[in-house]
Amino acid sequence: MNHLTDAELIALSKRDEVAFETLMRRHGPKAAALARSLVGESQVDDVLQEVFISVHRGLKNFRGEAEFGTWLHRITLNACYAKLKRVVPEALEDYEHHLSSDQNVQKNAERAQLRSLIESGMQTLPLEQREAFALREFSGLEYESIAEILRCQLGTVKSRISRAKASLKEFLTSKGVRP
Amino acid sequence: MDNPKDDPWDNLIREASQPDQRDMAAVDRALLKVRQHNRKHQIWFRTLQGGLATAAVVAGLSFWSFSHNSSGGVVGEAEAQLAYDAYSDAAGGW
Repeated sequence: MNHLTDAELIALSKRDEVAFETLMRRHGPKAAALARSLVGESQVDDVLQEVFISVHRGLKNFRGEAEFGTWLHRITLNACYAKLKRVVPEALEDYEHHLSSDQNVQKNAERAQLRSLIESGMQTLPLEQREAFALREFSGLEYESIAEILRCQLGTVKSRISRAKASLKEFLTSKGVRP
Repeated sequence: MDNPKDDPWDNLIREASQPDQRDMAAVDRALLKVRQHNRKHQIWFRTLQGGLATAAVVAGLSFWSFSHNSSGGVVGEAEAQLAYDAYSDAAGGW
């Protein structure tokens, strides 16, 4: 089913479990990365499961006015907001713990370490910058789609992302990272 | 450095932000949860269907039983009438 377009998979997903899984394997990893960057490692499973079940239920009403990816990331963002209201974000120490675990178990330790550091640095950003940055870098969305999701001006999105990057560069530099 | 695309930090962050094995694994776990959710939903739906079917059968049987008893009464009355007629005939004959 991998050769099918999103629209074809969406049409099939309403009845076909394999089509739904193909669709979610295509877009889900970026949604997972977005969720992880916003709510932290310990909450990502809860958020993603809620998101997938919501998507599964909502697909029958999905009319394709927005791209599926944009819709999925909007749902993911809403699930993250709901989680953030209920749970205190992970402390920086928790990220440092994940960091050391990653170093032991992952093949690409250097990249995993950098990503963990970025996620850790994101926790120091204001939420509005964090979500804009995450939608850009983790979800890989265009600025226009981010503006649509966050319901704000394009210039505002660019400004938030720019400020987030500046803060992150500072954070990463303080941790000894050099590009 | 004027072009943001040439900023090595941007490239570094973009590369590190790509989905990794943890994200794939989280997707697998979420899909498993969806499957379980669907199974539960199917079981619930079938149980409801079974319950409704049982209720329909019980209602049908009750109605049939009620009708049967009522018609039994009619048959009983008819039998009594026949017995009375037979008695009357016999009495008349007497």
